[in-house]
Amino acid sequence: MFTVSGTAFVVGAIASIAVLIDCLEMFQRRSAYSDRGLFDYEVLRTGRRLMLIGPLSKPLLGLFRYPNVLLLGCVQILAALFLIVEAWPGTPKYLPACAVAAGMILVARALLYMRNQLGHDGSDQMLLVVFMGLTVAQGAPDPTGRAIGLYYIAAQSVLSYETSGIAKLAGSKWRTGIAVPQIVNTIGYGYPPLGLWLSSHARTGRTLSWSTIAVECAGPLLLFAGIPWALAFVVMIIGLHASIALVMGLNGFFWSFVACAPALILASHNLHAAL
Amino acid sequence: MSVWDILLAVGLGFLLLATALTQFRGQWRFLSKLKSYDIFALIPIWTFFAPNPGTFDQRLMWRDILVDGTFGPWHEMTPPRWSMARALWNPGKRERKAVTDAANILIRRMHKEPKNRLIWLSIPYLMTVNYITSLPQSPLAASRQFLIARTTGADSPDRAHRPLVMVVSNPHALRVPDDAPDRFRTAERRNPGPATAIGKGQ
Repeated sequence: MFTVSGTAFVVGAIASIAVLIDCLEMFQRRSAYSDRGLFDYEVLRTGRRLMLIGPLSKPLLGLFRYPNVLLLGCVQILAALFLIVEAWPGTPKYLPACAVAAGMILVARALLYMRNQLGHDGSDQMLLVVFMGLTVAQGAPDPTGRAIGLYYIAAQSVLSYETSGIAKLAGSKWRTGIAVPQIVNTIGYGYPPLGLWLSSHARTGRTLSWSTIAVECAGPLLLFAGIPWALAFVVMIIGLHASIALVMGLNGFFWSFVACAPALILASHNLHAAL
Repeated sequence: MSVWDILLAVGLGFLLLATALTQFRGQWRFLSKLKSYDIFALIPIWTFFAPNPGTFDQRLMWRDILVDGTFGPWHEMTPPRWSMARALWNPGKRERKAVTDAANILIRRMHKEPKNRLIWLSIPYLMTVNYITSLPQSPLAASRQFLIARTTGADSPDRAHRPLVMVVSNPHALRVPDDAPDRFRTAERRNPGPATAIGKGQ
């Protein structure tokens, strides 16, 4: 029921949706990458020594200047479409080609990260984690190696929730329950009318703040309790990320973090079987 | 388990361990150093909106200083906007995040070392100035300056909290478009130099 290769295909397909959306958004806002745009390479290259001087500076200039930088988006779109088609039931499976596609997305995204320096968020980091794990999961020579790739994705996902939950516990605004109402009371990451409503309903605000902490801190422990509990955790994180996308507009977080869910279920299944 | 499997496990295990340790980079300087070498972001930071969440909008505004020394109105660069569609399609989020990142860095550094002019050569400052000076300009504009302000709540005349101005830049001379008539090539615009005093007339 929970095969390594099947899980890898589902992870790849969900993460590829995140990549497709991100790259299409990049194309819509391509002027930001042009000369004198916000991400003008002539300015950004002054921020990293290897982009400014040395043997790599010229090849990187050729790759990163506008419009060449859009090729990094094109490569990702083609590779993501391939991974989605490969995940479709009944399609002939080409594992090495999937590994190459995942590796291409990984390299393209890492290069874009290096180029832009600012403007990245947690979903970009999670996509790098997922495609690194997928490259291993679909390119390793034997089943054990493939499983290691998926376990890496699951472990980073658990670490992300635990770290975020514990860091929230350390914050007084989270503990007193005013964090969620105050975040939602911004335009960039919220919806001010809802933020005002939450501010005037302190108990609801506290419940939301503490629910977030509880899901992030205690949720991953459910993975040790077997598949039904692991599925319950997955449902919780889908709800968490859907509400974050809806209220905060962080659409990339939903796809990139939910992409880890199949790897979490596989890890939970194998862990429970081993215990 | 083959040699390949062991190598993969060790490599990915190292990344996982480095990620776990780097979350505490504030406590140990060598971890901050390690993270600074991670130009590809292979070691993620997972402390989203914690421990101190951003509870305000960073607003980046710019205005022109005209050739007669008067000031134009303030305009906002990439203003934040709410819409239900952002849950599926949010193309402006990367630019908004870049503006917020840049504003946070500039505020932190300028308040820590207000006299340190090296900030003018930093990526956040240069990318902001480069962008605002590339926006369409009137031939009567001699220079342009920006400010970073913090707001909370919706943009409405009856907002509870007034915007809090955090940073105001010096004016930056604008380039004269190649096709501009010669009468617009005033002394200042012919010789665009570094920052000048606010309100300097011709």
